[in-house]
Amino acid sequence: MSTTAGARRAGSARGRARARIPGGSLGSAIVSTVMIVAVAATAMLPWWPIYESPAFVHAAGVAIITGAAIGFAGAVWAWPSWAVASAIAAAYLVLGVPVAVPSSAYAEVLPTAEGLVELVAAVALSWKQLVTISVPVGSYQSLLVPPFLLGLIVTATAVTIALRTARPSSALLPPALLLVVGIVLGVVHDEVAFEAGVAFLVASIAWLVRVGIAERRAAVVDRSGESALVDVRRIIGATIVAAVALVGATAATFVLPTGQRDVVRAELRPPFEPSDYDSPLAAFRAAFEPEVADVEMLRVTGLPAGAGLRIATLDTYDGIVYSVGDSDRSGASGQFSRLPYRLDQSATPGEEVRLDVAVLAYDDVWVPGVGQLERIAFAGARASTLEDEFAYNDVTGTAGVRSGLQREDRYAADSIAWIEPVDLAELRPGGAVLPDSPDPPDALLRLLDRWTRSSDEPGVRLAGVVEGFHREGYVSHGIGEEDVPSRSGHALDRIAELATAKPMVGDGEQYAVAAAMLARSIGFPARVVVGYLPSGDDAADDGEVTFRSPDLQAWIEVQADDGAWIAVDPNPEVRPIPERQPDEPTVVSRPQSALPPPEDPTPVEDLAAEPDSGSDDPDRGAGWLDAILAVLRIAGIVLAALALLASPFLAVVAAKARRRRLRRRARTLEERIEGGWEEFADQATDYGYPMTQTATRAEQAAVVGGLGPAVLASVVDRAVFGPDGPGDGDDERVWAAVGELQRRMDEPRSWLERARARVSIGSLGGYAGSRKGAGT
Amino acid sequence: MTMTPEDATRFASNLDELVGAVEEILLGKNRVIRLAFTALLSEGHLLLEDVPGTGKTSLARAMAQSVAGSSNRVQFTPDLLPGDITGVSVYDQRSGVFEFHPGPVFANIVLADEINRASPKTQSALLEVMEEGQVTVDGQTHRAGQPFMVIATQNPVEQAGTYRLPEAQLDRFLMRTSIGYPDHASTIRILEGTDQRAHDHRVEPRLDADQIVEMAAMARTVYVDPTINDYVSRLVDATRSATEVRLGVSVRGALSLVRAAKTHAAGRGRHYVVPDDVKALAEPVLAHRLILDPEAEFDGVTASNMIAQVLIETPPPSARQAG
Repeated sequence: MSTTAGARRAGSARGRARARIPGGSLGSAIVSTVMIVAVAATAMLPWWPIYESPAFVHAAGVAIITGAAIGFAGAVWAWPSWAVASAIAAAYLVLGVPVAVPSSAYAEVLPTAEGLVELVAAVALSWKQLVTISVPVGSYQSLLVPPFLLGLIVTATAVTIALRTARPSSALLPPALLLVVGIVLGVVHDEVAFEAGVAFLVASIAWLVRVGIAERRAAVVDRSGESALVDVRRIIGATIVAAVALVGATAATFVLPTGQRDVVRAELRPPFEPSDYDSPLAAFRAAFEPEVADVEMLRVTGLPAGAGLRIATLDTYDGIVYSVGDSDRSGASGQFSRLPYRLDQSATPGEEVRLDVAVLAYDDVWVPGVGQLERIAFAGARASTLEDEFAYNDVTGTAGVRSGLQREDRYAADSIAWIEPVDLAELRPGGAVLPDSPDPPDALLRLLDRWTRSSDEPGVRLAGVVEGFHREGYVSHGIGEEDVPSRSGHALDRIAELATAKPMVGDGEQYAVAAAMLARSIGFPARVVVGYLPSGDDAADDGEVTFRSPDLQAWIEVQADDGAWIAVDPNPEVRPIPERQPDEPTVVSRPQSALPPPEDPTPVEDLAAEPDSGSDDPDRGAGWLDAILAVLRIAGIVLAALALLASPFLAVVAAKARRRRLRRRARTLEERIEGGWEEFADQATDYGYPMTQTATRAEQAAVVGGLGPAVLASVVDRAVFGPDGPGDGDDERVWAAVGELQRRMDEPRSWLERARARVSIGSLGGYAGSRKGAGT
Repeated sequence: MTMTPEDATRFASNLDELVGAVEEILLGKNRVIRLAFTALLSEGHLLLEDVPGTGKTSLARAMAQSVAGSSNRVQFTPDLLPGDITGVSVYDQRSGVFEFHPGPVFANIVLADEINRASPKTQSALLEVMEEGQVTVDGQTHRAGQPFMVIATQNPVEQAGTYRLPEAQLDRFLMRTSIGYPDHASTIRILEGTDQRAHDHRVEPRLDADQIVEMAAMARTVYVDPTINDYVSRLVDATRSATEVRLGVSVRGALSLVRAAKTHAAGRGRHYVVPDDVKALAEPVLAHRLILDPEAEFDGVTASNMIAQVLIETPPPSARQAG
């Protein structure tokens, strides 16, 4: 009786819940879903200024529609909450890469392994990146993940609340959250803020009106006249509210000043922003002014012989300035962070170096050092300020303090640096990824071709470039009246000028940039380093080096295949500069020629090879080859990922196979028979039978049930505990029985259950082993 | 000499017959009957802790009838004297000699009902005959029955006016168990037979006393692998090291367990002991030999719980001992 009453109560409650769903029918549910989609879409509007890209519209649209579909399907087929959550997770993984991380999708459609990894990591990491990057961000990296993920979850949750709960009006809460998050993560000045707010308000009111009408209909279902009257009143009331809101908001748009909003982005202040400071290479020439020629900048103890003192490592080149860090600071080289107590550099190749640096006239924000920093300790009156401001980028090994170093500042730095001399010809390129840079000027590439024609080996070519600069280059800062003119700067035109001038004249600023570009053309990750190189009279007897302003130099670092960054100095020795040669008369004397004559006559044997490299067919072939290689690469990655995922299961299967083989081939007859039983018991364990460690064989057989296991247990017990021991051939009979019993255990089960048993680690705990140990 | 598989088969067949015969009287109590016969064939004695009216006397009488032996019942009371059990020597004026009048202990199966109601002195009178199977009166030794088994009972509920059995005497009982109330179906069957007095039931003898003695001798020859002895030793050690136990199982207890396990194995048609025999008998053979720590008792720990715990924590052997 009570059960019936309980069931009745439960049915009544369900009926009430259904009645609160607007309309209660499938058609009504579709209308409700569409309205929730509209509310979610308006809640997405504050996100637009962050992206300002069609990719955002695509991502938001896919997220909202997919989330709505999941919520709708969950309501129609009464999915449990875990199923809805699983569907959201699956949708995120399947759609996430092409929609939210399009740069990592193959053909912008198919997810890649790297994309999936990026997608999963972005769940935690993209939020911070979003508020620490310049906007608009477009579809950069995985920054579309926040609106995509939130849109998916919010819409699915809102539709679920709208269609399945007794309070469908609460469905507005998730979109409201989406709206608020969009505002908080958004931009300081948002021109569409009012419009977005009003649109959300109107959509929300529309939903609330619909919910109210549905509830009223449910309450006065038998009085259709009254119901209709109520509907009309509510619609009129809602229209008035929406109209007032629209008018007020529109007026406010014109009346109120577009003030600055408090958003997360405005509150975040990175410890050190490299783009706030001039590139140290930009002021390179100033160090050689005559008035600072004798100014002592830094006094350093502990600098390894032949090593330079780095001020900053520059890896970002926009064709005009070589600077520290990626221009939008989203690159790893542009992100400076506070240094913890100590950085683990155990994986960095090189040797321990301890530098003691005393600041003299040096007053820049960059903190000079060598190699990769492990720890730093400041001394002097400003020690605590410097420690507080100190920021470090481990990718480039560059450090900085916002207030800059001043005279009497001191610090001790422990670093790992590569100081062994390296044969450039033996080097092979490393795999570091640097920010994109413009292509080298053609003149520079011609130099590369001329200097490195003899070999295809990257190391040999790099050595050829360095040797070429050393051989053909001359140094002039172009400051003094007696100096050969040499324009400062390292923009592309200046580099082209360096490559074409005869004689080649420049200084470290130009040689380092040109060498870095050529090294990158060869295939080496290369970056420019600005720092001090000790001259002959800098070093004191006690190993102390005092750097003067003209000791400033620029060189390059290339990464070898072992990950070490090798310092390479392309600067030629200072020597007398021959007189400038007249420009090539080509243009004047032979204006009809479309191409300048080659600088060197091409050897006859090389001419034969040129058509191959210049013809179109090989390009087309290379295109096909590239496509096939790309497909193979993706397939390989997918296979590797699958193998990685499957490896734990394969390891379990292999361990069991080995265990079975060892049991089957055990040394004694008794052990083989005992092993047979253990094999059977292990399979039972893997199928979930509660085989306990302290159970006897008969008890274990009883757990499995049936006559077969009981007989097998009895036979094995007789072999083990009987006075006569087992007879010849008993082991084969036992193993045959075990095989038969295992087959019987497998037969009634699905392939999925069998597969789960095969990869179960239940029997790998060693219960059999521990029982065996009990017997000894 | 070791029992042969054929002997084991015959032994199991005889035991099944005896158990089946007694089960006709004591319905639904196969396990207790089998335990009782295991005690008899292991030349041990049985302590039944039971409330009145559960069939203790019927069990003793039916067992005696099934083996064509004699049975006596002694109701222990506080004023019962040792001589009332063992017998007395009476002077015969006609012959002028003392003539021994055997007491109720001279039977194959003796039911000592409510043994804890007798004084310790009277209880101890049973010691010699339980251990040695003989009675010494006035310097003369008189053999008890062959086979000989004491089935003693005590009421676990009513404790007023009783004398707790001393540990030494408890240790002389091979097993302690209880018959308990019958299940529903058995109770129905018992009620259906109320037109017949309980004493009118009679079991036809299946074996004679000599055959029982022969079976007991045969049970001694069951093979016990060293791993089994090791297992028993570990079980006994575990009872001694348990914090809840003040006094663990004695060596006599370990011997009794192995002896009973042999009979149990033979009763299952095996001429060798397996760990299951030990586990099956561990509770009835060992539990009454434990003395628990008072605090553990206060916490609700019982001897049976302790044995069960020890069995869970002590892995049985699964392989023949190396070497």
